[in-house]
Amino acid sequence: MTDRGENLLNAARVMEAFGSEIEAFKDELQKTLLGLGDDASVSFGEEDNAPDDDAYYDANVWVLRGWRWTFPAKERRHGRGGRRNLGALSVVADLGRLGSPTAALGFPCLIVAWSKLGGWEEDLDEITRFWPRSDQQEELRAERLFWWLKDPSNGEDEADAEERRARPARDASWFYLVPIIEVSGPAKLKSLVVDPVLKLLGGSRAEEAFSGADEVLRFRWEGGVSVPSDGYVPSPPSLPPA
Amino acid sequence: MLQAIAKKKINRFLERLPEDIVTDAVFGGLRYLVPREAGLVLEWLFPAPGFEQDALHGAEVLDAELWPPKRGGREPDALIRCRTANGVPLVIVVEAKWGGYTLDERQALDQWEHFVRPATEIGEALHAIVVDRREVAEARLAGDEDELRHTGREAEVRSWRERRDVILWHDVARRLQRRPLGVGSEQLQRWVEDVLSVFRALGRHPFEGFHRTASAGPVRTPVIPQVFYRRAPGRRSDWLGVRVEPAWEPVFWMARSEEASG
Repeated sequence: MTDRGENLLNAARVMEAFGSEIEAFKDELQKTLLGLGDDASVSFGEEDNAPDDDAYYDANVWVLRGWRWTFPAKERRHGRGGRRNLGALSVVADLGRLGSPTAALGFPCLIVAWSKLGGWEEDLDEITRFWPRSDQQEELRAERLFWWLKDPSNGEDEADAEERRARPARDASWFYLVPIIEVSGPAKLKSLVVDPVLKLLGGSRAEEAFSGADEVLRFRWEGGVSVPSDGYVPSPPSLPPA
Repeated sequence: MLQAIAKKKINRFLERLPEDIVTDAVFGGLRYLVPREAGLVLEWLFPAPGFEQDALHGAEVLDAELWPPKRGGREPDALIRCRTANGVPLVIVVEAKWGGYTLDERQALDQWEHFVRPATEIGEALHAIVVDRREVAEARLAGDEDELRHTGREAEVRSWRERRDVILWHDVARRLQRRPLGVGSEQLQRWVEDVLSVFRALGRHPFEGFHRTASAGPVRTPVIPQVFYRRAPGRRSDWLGVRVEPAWEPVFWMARSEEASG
């Protein structure tokens, strides 16, 4: 078989293996979130609001370039009983759709995004020019957390940037990026995906929320757009011999 | 059936009989596989039986029967007849318990006496007990062992232990998931993936990182030029023939605005 033929078979095998593992990832993530229980100050429900798969397939419907899972969150109301809807945690497996962080960075990422109530998680499916981010749009906290200063939900929220900056994390919208391959098991899933989210929703500052999560990608602004900081060096891609 | 379960077409049966359905999904299919390929599955599931490391290496499955005729009033969930690489007959007796179900008193002991021990007289045997809660099963087995001791059969306790493997359903899924890639036929690999999809449908699929993804290469990828974030703001650039503009606004916000204005 020619090298190119072998390459195609290997690509299919990789995607099959990845499909199996990313589904296991999602199951573990859901299990971890549901396992927080209703006694936690923030609790999560089962995945809902499935994405439009057309947004993730390639034009020929042969390759799925990612997926989004969204878990609704509720907040316990102290002293009043019951729980109120708070927002939603979305995790996008980004396999390099044009305009996505992965397409620019060159390695697959998870986009871990929080959207306050009335959020925009469905719009994450439509990212064709998501990356790079702009300093006109977000504040970058602890080099890792992109915190929306403008309204990502079509002007329904009329607060100004200063007000958004001052909001607690649970009432704001934000996201961060994790290299998929760094999520090497349940412990890393917890430390890189779940714990920072819970700490942020619990009121921790970004620096504190990301302590113990060194693999979360760091960025800085350069010329007004987001560029990777030093600190994470992805494995170089395997290149064919000359 | 595997796809019917994975795609949740028979949920109402699963609610009532998950134990039998999952047992069939994992062990029933061995009956239809090529003998050596079915042996491979057992090799993945039972890598180190106590009586002999790698006993299943190179084994062939001659028959796999679910719920065979009762002996001594007991019916194991599966009886798998094999031949080892050395030509020794090997019988695997499977007892499966799902969820909160546990072994009945003397259930495993009766199986030892009527199925497992007789098999050791003509070859080798493995008593595979597949459960969700190991400690509960071990406690029941300890009670059964005490009964053997009280009748002066201490040697049998040792023999049974060497031929007993208590594994979790989670382990079954994990071992199948971590099987070596590229071993066995494509049909076998597809069947195993379908079995794993059953576990996934039942919420028992283990996550262990992306090791298989990482080891499944090499795939030769084009180098993606990192132009998106190195570009001066406001300029356009071409990549693979696609014109790309920087995102100054969140695209979803823009999309909705355009929709509203259009």
